[in-house]
Parts: sequence; C-alpha cells; structure tokens
Amino acid sequence: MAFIKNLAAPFLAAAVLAACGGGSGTTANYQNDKERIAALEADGKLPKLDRSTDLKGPDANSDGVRDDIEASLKGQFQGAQLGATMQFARAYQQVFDLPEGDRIAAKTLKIEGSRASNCLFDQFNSATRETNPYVVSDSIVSMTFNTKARLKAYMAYNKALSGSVWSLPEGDTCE
Amino acid sequence: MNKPLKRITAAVLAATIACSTITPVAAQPSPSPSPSNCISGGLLFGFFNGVLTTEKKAEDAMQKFKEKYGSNSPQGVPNCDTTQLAEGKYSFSLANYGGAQGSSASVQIASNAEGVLGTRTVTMGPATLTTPSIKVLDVTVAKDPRTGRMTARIGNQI
Repeated sequence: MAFIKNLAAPFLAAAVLAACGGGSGTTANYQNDKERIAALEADGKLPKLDRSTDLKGPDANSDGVRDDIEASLKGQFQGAQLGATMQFARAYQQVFDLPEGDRIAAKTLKIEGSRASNCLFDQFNSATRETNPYVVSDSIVSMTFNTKARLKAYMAYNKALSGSVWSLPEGDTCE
Repeated sequence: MNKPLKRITAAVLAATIACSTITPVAAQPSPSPSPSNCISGGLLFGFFNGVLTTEKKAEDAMQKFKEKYGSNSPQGVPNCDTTQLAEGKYSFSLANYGGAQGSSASVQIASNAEGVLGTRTVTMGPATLTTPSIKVLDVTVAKDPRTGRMTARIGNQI
C-alpha cells in the first residue's frame, strides 16, 4: 500500500486547497489549518462537510448523495446544472460500495462516472471559475473523498482501474 | 471497424499529466489492416496510449481533447484502425493550462504490443493555456515492409 500512502498526503492537501478556492484575503492569524478551515466554514466561505468515520456519511433522503454535499450543490446551482452535479456526486459516492479489488465492478462504475462527467461538461462552461467544469468536478471529488478513509477508498478504486481503458460516451448522458 | 477503435483512450497507472496534446509530425498514410495490434484479452486499446495517475485526470484529459478537437478522436492521433493509422513521428507535449507551475508531471506511453515504451518526468513551467510548452516524448510508428506489422518506438528512429 506504499503507493496509496505516498499519494495520500498530496491528495489530501489538494482536497483542502481545492475546497479553499481563491484567497480569502483575511488577515486573521490562526494557530493551524483546522482553525483556519473552521473559520472559513463559519463564514460560509467553505461548505460544512461531514468528516465522520462512516465512509458513506449521512444520506437522510437516500438519493445517493451525501447530505452535506447535496446542501452545498443546492446552494450553488439550480436546474440542469444542479441535476448534472448531483448525477456526478452520486456516481462518485458509489465508490464506497465497491468490493475491494473488483475490477469489473470498478469498470462498470467508471462507465457510469464517465456518463455523469460528460453530462456535467455539457451543462457547464469555462466562462467563470464558478462554472468551469474542471473546477466544479474537482470540487465534488474533493468533497466526496474528504477524509483519509474516504481518500483511501478512492485510491483503491483507481488501483482497480489501473491499466484499463475507456472512452467518453457520446450524446446526451444526463439522467 | 468497431467504433471504440476510433477513439483515443486514456488509461490509469502511475503518472501525472497536467494537460497533454499529441501532434502528429511528418505522418504518411499507411493502409495496413491489422486490428490485432490493438486487441488484448478482450480489451480494446489505442495503438499506443498516454497513461495517467487517476481516473479523474484521464477523464479531464479526454474532455480537453473534446474541447480542442471537437471529439476525443481527433484526426491524426494514434488510431487503432491500422487502415487509418499513419506512419511517422508523433510528438507528445505538455501544456500547463493553469495552476501547475512547479509541479512535477510524468508522462508514460505504452503500446499493446510492446508494453511500456517510455516515461519522462518534467517540471511544469508558467501557464500557457492550451499551448504546449514542454516537449516530452516522440513516438515513431512504422510498418515492417516484410510482415506489414505496425510497431511503435520512442524516439525518431524507424
């Protein structure tokens, strides 16, 4: 598992940085990153994310999207864009249901994920950072795999996909 | 010809690409049907493939291709359809679209027939959007005149 360990630190850092977005311009001094993140969450500049030990986290309405991620998406998007982000988040949430090392299940999920990704890129454009599909999709991935255990599940998913190939789907893939 | 064979494919392994482009250089038409070059164990591969670290990076790279060329099967890329696969040199370059300055980026190229052809790691420079700024690898595709078999090698040597 050395490979995953080596990658975990930069990915966690990337997840935090991606969630932080642009500079806040604040001049407050914080003792550590936890305090800084807590302050940003309190100011509403960062989504309040579930960091429980439960891999899948809370999903009270059983729509396949973690409640905190759903709240964040509903606060930012609406209409077809909200639908696309929910489809994308739902696809990545299923990573936690994958049997470890099951390459066929991982590939099946990847195909569903590509359909969700294709939909998201169709619904967003790069006019602004807020509507840039690369930024939006990275943000959802960062929110989904926001603890060490969740990130390890994502790395296991990538490990199961290692060496495989796939193509972008064609046509309207929005659900 | 199976439709998936016409598509550029992306794979996941141990490398990182910020954003890649492929530019065919001095390519010549070369009709030589040999689809077995691209089929192994039931999987369809491109004739040779760029390799990426995570499925998200692979997904993003394909979206970049779609943005740049209108599809993820641009003309001139290493098509698995050997009736369309052109002999010649394919140059792989990296562009820091944005936010990757100072990052280490590795590119690994693999073909189905020869396995891993080569890996290069570079440090990304200033952002250049979609304009490639660092040339990392050349892949030369050639046909054996005796057997008609297509081969891919790193470098300019045919």
